[in-house]
Parts: sequence; structure tokens; C-alpha cells
Amino acid sequence: MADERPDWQKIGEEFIQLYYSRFDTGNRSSLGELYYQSAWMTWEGEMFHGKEVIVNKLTTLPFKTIQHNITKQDCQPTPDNCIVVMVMGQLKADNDPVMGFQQVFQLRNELGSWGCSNDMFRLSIHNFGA
Amino acid sequence: MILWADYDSRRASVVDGRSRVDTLDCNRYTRAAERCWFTIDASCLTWEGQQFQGKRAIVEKLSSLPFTKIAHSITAQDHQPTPDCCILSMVVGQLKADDDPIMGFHQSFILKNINDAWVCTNDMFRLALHNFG
Repeated sequence: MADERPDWQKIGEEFIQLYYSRFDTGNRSSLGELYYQSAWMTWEGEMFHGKEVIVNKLTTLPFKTIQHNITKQDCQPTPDNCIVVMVMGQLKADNDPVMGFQQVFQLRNELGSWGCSNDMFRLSIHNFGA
Repeated sequence: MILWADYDSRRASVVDGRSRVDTLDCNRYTRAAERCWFTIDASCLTWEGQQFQGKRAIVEKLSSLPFTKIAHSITAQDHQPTPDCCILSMVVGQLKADDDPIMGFHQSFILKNINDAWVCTNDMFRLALHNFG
């Protein structure tokens, strides 16, 4: 049966699959290949600008093993021919309890290939009052 | 209509992002009317996985949501400039609709400057209640 998903959804979902599989297999420095040189990342409210700075942050996160589980992912095309993807899911780092997270990416196409220009990550743990 | 003069300043966009979100904290009628100003015919809304395109479809969805009162509380909001001079915003918060229990939500927006006005071209909303086993 033909895949009837629009291209922007296929590309968004492929990116998500690639991003978290690289993240979870422990080779976080390879995530750098997915970001543009001038990309932005906001990690728990802290901003990082530039591929090297982003990779440095991702490779120095204080856990050895991590596993992401995607609960929902939404993709949309933008007026500038980019793709925005919003992910919500759960992650387990080392022996910590499972935590919810939210992440948003903007993907853009340059010279025929797709990369990430914007990335925002938040844990959901602070989002629930007693 | 909301007009954000200084989009070069990230601080300004943060402040304006907050005021914009605050304008949504009203009843559904006002809320839908407010949103008219922020969407254009190319705008996309994804509401709990369901897609709507165009100002008319988006306003119709927002104004027919099945509650009479709602209050949003923003836990965290992040904003970034994009290579196309848009602003990407991510919001994490809680909402209370009518007498329902408080629920967490996630929402993302892309804001684009068109003819000196900032409009919302992309909007994605999810309740967080399915995100916890």
C-alpha cells in the first residue's frame, strides 16, 4: 500500500527516528551531523548557539545511558519551506525514574539535504503541581 | 492587533511571547477573536493530532472547543530566532477547563513578520495527560 503521508511528515518522522536512535545508542557526538553550523538549541531554558557548542552540551550531559520513548509527534510545513516537529515522550536516564519530556525541532533544507536549525528541550517534571 | 516592533531583540520577543500567551487566557469567544489577528490563510494548527489549515478552519476549531471557561498557567516558555527571521516558541504549562481536573499541555508556535505585523503561521497543541504511564 502506498505511503500517503505528505513529504514533510515523512521527513519529520525520519529525522525523529534518526535523532533519538543516535542519542540512545550512546554516540551523542554523531548528533552534530544533524545540526546546521548556526543552529540554536535551548536545553531546559539555557541557550546554545552553534553546532560545536550544541554538541559539547549534548556530549557532557551527566548520564551514561538513556532511552527515549516517543508518545506523540506532530509535524507541520512552515511558510519558509521548513518543517517543524513537536515531540512529547518519556525518557529514562541511567537509574533515574522515568520522566516526561517535550522537544521541538525546526528542520530546513539546504543544498538538497535536511538539517536541524532549531531545537528546544524541556523535561516535563516541573509541569505538575502536587 | 498585536504588533511587535522589535523582533531583533530576543528579550522583546520573550516579553511579547508572554503577553501573547496571556491574551489566550480568556473565554473561548474572546480567545477565538484574538486568534483571528494572529493567523493567516496559510496558517496550520495541529490540535491533539488533528490538522487544520487556514484562519477560518482554525478559528472555527478554537471557538467550538467544548468548554465555556479556561485558564492557562505557563510553567516554562522558550523562544528562538530561526534562519528565516521567524520566532519559534515552545510553551509548557497547565490548563483548567470548566470543572475538569488541571491538565498539563505542550504548545509550539512559529511567528512570522509579515508587513510589520507578527502573525502565527504554525501552532501545535497537545495535552500532556497521555504522557505519563
